[in-house]
Amino acid sequence: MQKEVDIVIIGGGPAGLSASISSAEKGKSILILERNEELGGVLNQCIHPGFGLIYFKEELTGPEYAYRFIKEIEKYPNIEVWLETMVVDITNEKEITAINKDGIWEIKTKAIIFSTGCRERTRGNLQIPGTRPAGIYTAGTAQRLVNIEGYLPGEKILILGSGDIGLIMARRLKWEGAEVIGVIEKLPYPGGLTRNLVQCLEDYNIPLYLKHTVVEILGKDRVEGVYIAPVDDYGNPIMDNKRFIECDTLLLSVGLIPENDLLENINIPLDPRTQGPYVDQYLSTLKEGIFSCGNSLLVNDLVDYVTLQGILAGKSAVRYINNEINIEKRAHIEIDGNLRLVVPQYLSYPILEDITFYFRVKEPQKSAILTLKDNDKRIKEWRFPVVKPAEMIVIKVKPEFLRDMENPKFSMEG
Amino acid sequence: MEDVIIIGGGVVGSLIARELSFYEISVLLLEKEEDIPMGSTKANSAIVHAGYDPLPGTLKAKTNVEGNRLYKDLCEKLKVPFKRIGAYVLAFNDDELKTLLELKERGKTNGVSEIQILKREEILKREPNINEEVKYALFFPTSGITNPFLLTIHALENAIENGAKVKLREEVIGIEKKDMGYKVITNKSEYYCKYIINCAGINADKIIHLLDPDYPFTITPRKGEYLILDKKAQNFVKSTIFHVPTQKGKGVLVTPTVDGNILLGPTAENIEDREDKSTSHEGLSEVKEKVKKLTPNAPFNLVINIFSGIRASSTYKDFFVQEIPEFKNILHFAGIDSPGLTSAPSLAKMAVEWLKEKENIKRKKNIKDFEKIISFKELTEEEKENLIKEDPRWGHIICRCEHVSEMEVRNAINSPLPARTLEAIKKRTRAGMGRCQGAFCSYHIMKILSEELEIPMNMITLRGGKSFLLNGENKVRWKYAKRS
Amino acid sequence: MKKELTCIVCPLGCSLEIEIGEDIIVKGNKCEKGKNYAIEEIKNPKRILTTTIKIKNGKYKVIPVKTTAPIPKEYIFPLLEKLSEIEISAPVPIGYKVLENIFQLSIDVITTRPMETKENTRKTKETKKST
Repeated sequence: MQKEVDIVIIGGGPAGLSASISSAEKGKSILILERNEELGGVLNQCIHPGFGLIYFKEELTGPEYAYRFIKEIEKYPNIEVWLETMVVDITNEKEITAINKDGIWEIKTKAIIFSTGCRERTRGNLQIPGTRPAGIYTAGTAQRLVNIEGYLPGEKILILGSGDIGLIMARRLKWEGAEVIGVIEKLPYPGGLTRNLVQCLEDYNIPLYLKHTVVEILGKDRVEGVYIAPVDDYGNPIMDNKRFIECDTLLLSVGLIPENDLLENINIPLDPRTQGPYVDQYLSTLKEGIFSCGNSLLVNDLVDYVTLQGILAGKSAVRYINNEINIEKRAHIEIDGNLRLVVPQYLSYPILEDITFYFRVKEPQKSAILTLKDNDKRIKEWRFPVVKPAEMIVIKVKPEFLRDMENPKFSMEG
Repeated sequence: MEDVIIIGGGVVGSLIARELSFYEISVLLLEKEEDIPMGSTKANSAIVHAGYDPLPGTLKAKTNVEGNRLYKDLCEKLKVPFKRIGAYVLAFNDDELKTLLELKERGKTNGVSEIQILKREEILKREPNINEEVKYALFFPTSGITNPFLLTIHALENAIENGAKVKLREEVIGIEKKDMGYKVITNKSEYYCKYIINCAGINADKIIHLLDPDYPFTITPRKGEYLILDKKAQNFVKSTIFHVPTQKGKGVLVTPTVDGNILLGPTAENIEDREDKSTSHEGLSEVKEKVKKLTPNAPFNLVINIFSGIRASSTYKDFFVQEIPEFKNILHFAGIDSPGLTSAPSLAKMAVEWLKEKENIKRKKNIKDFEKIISFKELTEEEKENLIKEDPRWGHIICRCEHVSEMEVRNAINSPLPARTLEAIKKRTRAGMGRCQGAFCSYHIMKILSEELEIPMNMITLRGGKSFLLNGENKVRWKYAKRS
Repeated sequence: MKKELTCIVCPLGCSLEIEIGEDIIVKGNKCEKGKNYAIEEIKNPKRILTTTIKIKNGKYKVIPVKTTAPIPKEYIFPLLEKLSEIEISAPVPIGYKVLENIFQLSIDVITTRPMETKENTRKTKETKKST
């Protein structure tokens, strides 16, 4: 079966929802393809507060944040939503093959917005040896089971990884009556926001073992325990000092991977630092007419930024269709020092508006200075009293500072 | 009273069940696990070997080469993927070249139809990721790869369609000689039969010892650890890559799988505990070291899973396929280690011949072929559309990695050999084998299992027994611990 | 008595040292907000509680809820226990009051999403024929 629309948005989570609104406002025909049974993406299972402080100036829970956008899109008759629809293929000509209960769809479109979010790193990715019992879950899957399906994954829980998802689940499972034995973190510092460390671990005396990792999983049918070991300065486990921790569930909160399989299939280059596509300030990938926003562009820390990226991607897709984007040349942005990644990675000239840059740092640092340079000539500086890997750095730069750059570079020193 | 009882539902037992189901005899297969295959057939290299490795004159050699020839037809009939991708055996120095030439001769004697000997340049041209230090290689075009799960499951389903009976979760714990044949006692029941075929894999010796406790045959379980790479590594190698074999066996290899992954392994470690399927830091490191020798830039960052399998090796240097004295009419297939998977179709024919010598068995007139939709993903767009029109649930894709449809899962649960666990679904549909390793599809599948089997979510298991996926209680738990 | 705390008001996360005696003395804070946070945390630590409760006949088996304001920490588990005994019925709008004025704190527990009935979900699925 055939379908033709102006813009297809793949993924109906927060990024896709805001992209649909900003593009529908301009009157284009929008189709959101969502593989789950409802819109909202991962927000539906993030029942804790912490969403919207920036965008709505209110603190909302995930479902409440999603609701605002889901309600909003109902106002636009030009936004169509297909649920339980899986995109299985995209061609170079932006033809999309999608499958749902109505059949196989070949969808023709003028622009595609990718807002597919992330998947989680698995036990297999980490190659943790041992047996393969039931009771090993990624934290996100466990969160879905608890918060949407209403089931406990187990009763004695050990969490590997001190990122926010792991910390939030520690508290959640404690509140559901499970015993949370501890959180194991490989690095010498925790991965999540301080607020979560306090309210999820400290509040409940849940121990955090820094510089440790899980080296073996035991249990025939169900997890019976794990061996943890301290790691050296290079991250290698010191096996002599391994010890056994009894548990029946191992939750893995060890990293998010942006879901860009479909982009890779059409050879859209991905930035190995973000694992999302290279984009310019329009959030256009290096293939014209295909845009990226949200967690599949880079792993965000706040949904508010996801929303802003979605809004921008939507607006850009419309301008692209209207032939309003005229790119004369592109400059690639280098990064240096304590910077681990930057988005966007390209500047498309002429630059007509302020550009929001998103950064993540490699290591925690105090009194950090972020510098914008061109050909090593200092253009502008920003100062931060404290920077942490867990917290994205977001700055807005006016076009005049980015004029005619040949070799733009951002660097961060202490 | 059955004509034949087969003990063990691995690839050998299942292929035998299928062959015998084509005759007018009653066949009962007893399997001790929750599902099939669970033993050696579940975790191996999935390679259909060319037949250069076994010693000439052995049963291994004969059945390896014959089995290899039978694979294409058998897989077509059972709708199982099979690809003849070929295999290289690499030599890095002149000593190893000597071994290669021995293997070439051995292969010829065994009846391997095509063998090429290649020099470094040609090898690297065909497989650029092979170690540049390679000097020579043998290339066997007849070597292939297959899907052992589907082969076993489809064979047994075809057997059931043709009248064979299968009992899962029944372990044979006793066999008594009776006038008309034998009484077979399991943990649940007892059965009477004329003939028994022992295909109990790593426990084949236990069955032998039920008959004669002193019989000098023992299985020495040997563990092999593997790593499997994401499909993104698909074209890393196009054929199976071996190093010259050693005393311990064919060694660590690098091979594509029929589904587009790359498989690395196995190690070969004698173990005490037959149920020990754990992987270890040492084992995985050994695999990686040996893989690096064959293909130095193997993308270990693309590992999506690790697992281990157990081979039923024995002190007997060949396949042990015989009756034992004083216990006539029981045929043992024991010590079936490599090339067991390859030899299985040939071993199945041996079982039929054995029975024909004892009884005048008549072939059935109306043998049912195996008809089944295997993979929604592989159908044409038109076929997919028609299915969705018949039942819209075909259009609900619940596995984002392998694009498995909800109906494939439901059909697996409602098939002649029903899937009742998450792993059983995985074997039949591939859901859960992709790069997200079930993070997306698991709860969908659990919900479908719960609905179809009419059991609460908390009772769904990973692979039977106590492998509950959730907290195992028969209700949603709402207990709050006192604040510490 | 001395106590150590990490302030969570802003990303700086100052390490605070608090002396609890006749008065509460806060050291290590770089701003007034931090001082106030520390005092609150010592005198009357409060948290927003978010959890799920059972819902009958709904699209899902559980529905997320929250307290409308932070509640003193000591009420968290008692409230969780109370909520575990409740089951509401679909359909339910967002913001529906599940419990009112819990523990006389003038704080309610409300749903954080709407939930339609199972029937309605099935109906919408069946009638959703796209052009």
